[in-house]
Amino acid sequence: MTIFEAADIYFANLQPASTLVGVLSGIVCFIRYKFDSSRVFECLVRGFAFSTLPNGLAFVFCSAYPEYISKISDSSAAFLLGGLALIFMPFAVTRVVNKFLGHSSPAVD
Amino acid sequence: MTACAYFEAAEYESYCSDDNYAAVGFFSYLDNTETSVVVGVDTEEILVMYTSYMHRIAVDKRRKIMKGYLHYDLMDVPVMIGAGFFFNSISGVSWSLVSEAAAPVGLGLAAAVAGLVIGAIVSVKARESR
Repeated sequence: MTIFEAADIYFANLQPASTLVGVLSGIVCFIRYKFDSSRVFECLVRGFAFSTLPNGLAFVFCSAYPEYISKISDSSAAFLLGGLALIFMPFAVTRVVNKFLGHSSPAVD
Repeated sequence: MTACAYFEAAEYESYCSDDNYAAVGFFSYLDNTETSVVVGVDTEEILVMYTSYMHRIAVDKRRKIMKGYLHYDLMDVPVMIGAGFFFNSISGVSWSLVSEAAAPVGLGLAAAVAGLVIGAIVSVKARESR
């Protein structure tokens, strides 16, 4: 199997892979916390955060082989979320830097 | 309404509010109203003052809760984006189980936006539970 055949299979099953990674990482986290029900939200957070991995790998692969961009399932939503992440990031980082340096800013309050 | 009934009601309210500063605020009013009752101020008027005071506190509390949900931190961003991808992929998988046709773009976008909101709420809940 060549890398392109593997990529074809991967891109065809990108959405099930995202779901599976999210669910599995949430379950693994819940097992690691010994089924502590008070930490369910932490496990959900971890599951959600890890479900970005398959799409992230696909984006990195697309940077080398742009012809695969059209093979990303529901690419409009993927680009929406990727764009929003890039838009959110500077504001969130600015808040953290302001907090760290002790600068008073309306955004911090 | 008699002063006695008013104080009973007020006391009941303050204990039920489960809000210390509200109770403190109320009792500072109570000090004044006690003097006022002695000089003959209408207790209905005092009750209206007390109700509006409690209403203002309730509005401030709701504003604080909304501010807590709308405020986002650096930690919330990956959770929101991840939840967006997660719900988007769940909607795609669910659609593929129901229909052979390609999933509509609107469904994926709506699921992604819903995921962003759910991610923000879950992240706030996780932060509160620590």
